[in-house]
Order: sequence, then structure tokens, then C-alpha cells
Amino acid sequence: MRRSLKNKFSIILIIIIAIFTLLSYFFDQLVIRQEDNLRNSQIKFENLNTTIANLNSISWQLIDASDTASLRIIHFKRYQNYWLKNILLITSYDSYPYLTDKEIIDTFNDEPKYINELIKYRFLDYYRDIVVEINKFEKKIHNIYGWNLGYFPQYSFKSDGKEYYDGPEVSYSEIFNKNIDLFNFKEFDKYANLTIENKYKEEAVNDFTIKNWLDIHKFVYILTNKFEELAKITLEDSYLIDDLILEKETLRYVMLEIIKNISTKKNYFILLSIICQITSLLFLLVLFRSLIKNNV
Amino acid sequence: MRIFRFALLQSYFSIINKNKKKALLLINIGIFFTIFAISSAMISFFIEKKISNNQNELLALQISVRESSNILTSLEIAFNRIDQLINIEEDTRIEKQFLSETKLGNKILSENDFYDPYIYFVGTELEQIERSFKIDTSDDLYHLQDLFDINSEWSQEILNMINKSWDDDDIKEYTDAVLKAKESLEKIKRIDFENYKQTEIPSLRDITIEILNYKSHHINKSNSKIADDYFTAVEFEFSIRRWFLQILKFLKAMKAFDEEQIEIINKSILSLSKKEKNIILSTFIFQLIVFTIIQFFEVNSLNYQRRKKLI
Repeated sequence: MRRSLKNKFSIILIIIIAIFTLLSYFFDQLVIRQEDNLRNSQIKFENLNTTIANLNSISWQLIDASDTASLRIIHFKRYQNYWLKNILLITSYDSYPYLTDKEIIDTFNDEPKYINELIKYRFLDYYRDIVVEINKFEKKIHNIYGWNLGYFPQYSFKSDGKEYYDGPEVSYSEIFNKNIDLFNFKEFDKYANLTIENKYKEEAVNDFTIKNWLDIHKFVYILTNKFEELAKITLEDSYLIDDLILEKETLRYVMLEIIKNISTKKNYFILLSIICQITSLLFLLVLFRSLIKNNV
Repeated sequence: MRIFRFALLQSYFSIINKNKKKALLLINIGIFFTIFAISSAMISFFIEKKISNNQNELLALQISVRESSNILTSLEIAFNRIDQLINIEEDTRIEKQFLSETKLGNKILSENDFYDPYIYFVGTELEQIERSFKIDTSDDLYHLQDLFDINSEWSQEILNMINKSWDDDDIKEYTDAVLKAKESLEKIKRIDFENYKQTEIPSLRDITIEILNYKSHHINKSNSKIADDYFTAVEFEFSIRRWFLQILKFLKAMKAFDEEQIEIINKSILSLSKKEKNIILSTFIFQLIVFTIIQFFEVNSLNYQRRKKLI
């Protein structure tokens, strides 16, 4: 028996069988490792898909906000001089430029006093509408940026370890004070209150002079320009997000390539493991064959 | 233990002289099956590689369809917005042009008041469209001008694709839309949009002069540079809408083509996977047979040893 064991050929065959069995285990391990890599890469890939979908949604929200604001801005700009011109032409006042046109006033069916008040109320409503639109826009972009601060670090600040929104905002008093030289009357509250309570509007309709209306006219111009600036900021931010989307989309194709390679490797290792298993069986059979042939 | 089993096997093989031929035949069959199993495994690997390639192609196509869906949605939104803007603008202009013929109307709304904001808005929109359609491929960088140039590589590629599937009227519609878009783009590029920004606040004197000289600022004034620029902007919006409609049609066709490709790849994966399943099954059966043969010898060697001990 000891003699037989020393049979060289049988020993070589046994070593070959052992090597192939070991190789089979080794490739099995590599398959497990590749499977792990594949799972991690797929998670990263899915995360990228989610990020891209999220970024697309943010971009659309920003563009939509900017577009909606742009349409309102066209309207506001078209009427920037409209109500002031109406006041100058239809209402009665006793100062420069004396443009009140009796002929035009006569074309109205209602009483001149009613038309006079109506025009002034409409001017104040128009001024209030701009303020309301700006406030609405601020809230809208706060909702977009505030929930996605990770993408807009320029609009956030940290306090006590928490992240807070600090995005584009309009401070009416600040704007007023910055342009105070342009106004005939320098009290901000006088004009700010007009957008808050109706009783101030009533007082304004009765007491305001051409100089006051000119102040409102100027403030309306400044606010419309500010609104335009805000709309432009969101549009510019949407461009930044679009660039980020392009970057992530390129990365997604890179990830796809990585997944492809891992998957090919995994299949390759599975095959090698199977082939090693079968080869070890083959050599086992060859060993049996040789043992029988040599009658041991 | 293994050496003990091997010794048993050796001892068993030494006494099967009688059935040597049968045993060799059985082992040969086993070897044949083993080689068959290796070949099956290799075939299944190639099939798996093919499936894997198909799957990757499928994934890339799915991403492409998802991206085209996103582009289609944003283009559709942009198209609807332009369409809505054109309709609102047309209604507003007609109404204001009519009212400007009244005594009050011709003084309260000048051409600057009415046209400037729209011209400036179209200017910013042009900037936005130019940026959105700056397409950076791996080989080239395409600008809006290239998309509107019927002789550009980009347009020719689209034409080559649509020539195969669209009828002549549709192709003509597409070509006309591109030519018109190019013409409008060239015209609108000549406008200096900064002139229409309206950031400066007019003084009371400016407004007074505008009211007093209302005839020279009238909306319906003929030979007006501002009105000309306004209508160039309107024309641009119209041609962009027309071009958008065509490009949407093209992109929808492309998306449908991609979806068809996905369907084909899906079918191919299913068929390959069925083949692979059968091959793996046959490999398993062959392996089982080989294993049985090996077990047969091992068990017989053990039985022989036991019988020897009993004797």
C-alpha cells in the first residue's frame, strides 16, 4: 500500500485535484467579493439616479419661479408710468406740470371725484401688488432653497450646529433708505403702511400731493428692478444646478461602466470556479482510471 | 482520513480485475461528461457575457429614455409657456393698440411703456434658450446658431434620420421651421437689449414731455425703431414656437425608437436567459452523473473492505 502511494503519477494527480479544488474555493471567494462590490456600486448608481432626479426637480422649480416672476415683471414694467400719467391727466392738483385735461375727464361717465379717487386707489393697489408679488416670490424661493440647502451653501449659515436659510430677501426699509435722496418725503413708514392697512390708503387718496405720488412712482420703479434682480438670481442658480446635473450624469455613465466591469469580472470568476470544480472531478476520474489500468 | 479513503480505493481497484472493462467504460463515460460539462460551462459563460452586455445596453437605453423624457417634459413646458405668452401678448397688444386711439389711451401708454418690457424680456429669454441649447458632445460644441442652420452637421444628422421615416410634407415643415428660426435669430441678434432695460427712473419732466409729445411716442406710430424691434421679438417667439413644435416631434420619435430598442433587448435577454437556464441544467446533470460514478467507486471500495474484514 505504501508502495502504491508512492506512485508518482497518482500523487501528481492528487496534487492537481487539490490545486483545482483550492482554486475553486478561491474563485468562489472572489465571486463573493465582486458581488459585494457590485451591490455597493449599484447602491451608488441608484443614489446618483435619485440625486439627478432631485436636481432636475430643483432646476424646474427655479426656472418656473423665474419665468412666473418674469411674466409679472413685464406687467409691472408696462404700468410703471401708467397710473402716474392718469393722476397727472385726470385728477385735479394745483402744481407743476398742470396737465389735467378737462376734455379727457369729460369722456368718463362717472363723477370726476369718483374717477379721481378710483385712479389713486388703483395706483396704490398696483404698488401693493408689487410688494405682494415680491413677498410671494421670496416665500417660493425660500421653499426651494430652504429644503435643498445642501446644494446652496451660499444661502445658509450655521448656528448651534444647525443649518439655517439665509437666501435672497428684500428689506423694503433698507431699499428705501438706500435711495432716500430720490424721495421728496423721507418717512419710510408713511409709504410702507399703504401696503398693510386700508385706512392709510384712504388718507393717502385724500391727502397725497403730486410729490407723494412721485415718491410712490419712484419706489415702484426701484422695487420692480429689485424683483427683476431676484428673478435673475434664481435663473442663474438654475444654471448652476444644470451644470451639476451634467456633472452627475457624466458620473452616472462612469458608474455604469464600473458596474459593467464588475459584473463581467463576477461572471468570469463564477465560470472559473465551475471549471475548476469540474476539472478537479475530471482529474479524480483520471486518477481512478489510472489506478484501475495499473491494477494498483 | 482522506489518505485512508484513498488507500481503500486503491485496494478496491486492485481486485476489480473481473469488471475492469466495465469500470473503465464507466470512468470514460464520466470523463466524457466532465469535458461536456466544462464546454457547457464555457458556453453558459459566453451567453451570460452576452446577457450582461445586453443588460448594460438596456440600462444605458433606459437612462437615455429617462433623460429624453426629462428633456421632453422641459421642452413641452417651455413650448406651452411660449405659446401662452404669445397668446397673452397678442391679446394685450391688440387691446392696447385699440385703446391708444382714444384721447386718454394715446397719452397714458407710450411705445416705451408698452414695448420696452417685452423686448427686454425676449432678450433674457433668448439668453436662456441659447444657454439651454448649447450642446456639448464629446466631439463638438453646438450653439443655437448650429441648431438653426440647415447645413450644419447637427441638422443634417436630424434630416438623415427623418428622411427615412417622415413623409415629404413633414420634412418640409421641419426644414421651413429651421430656416425661419435662423432668419428670426439673425434679426433678433441685431437688437441691443440693454436699451430696453428701463432701470432709470424717469423724472416728472420726462413724463410730462412724453405726455405732451404723445404723438411721437404713440404705440401705433409708423417708422418706429422700438415697434420694429418689438415685432422682431414677437416674430422670434413665433418662429421659436414653430421650431419647438418640430423638435418635440423629432424627440418624441427618437424616444419611441429607443423604447422599441428596449423591447428588442428585453426579448433577447429573455431568450438568452432561457438558453442559459437549459445549459446550466445540463451542466448540473452531467456533474451529477460524474459525481455518482465517483461515489459508486468510493462506496464499492468501502463495501469491499467491510466484506474482507467479515471473512
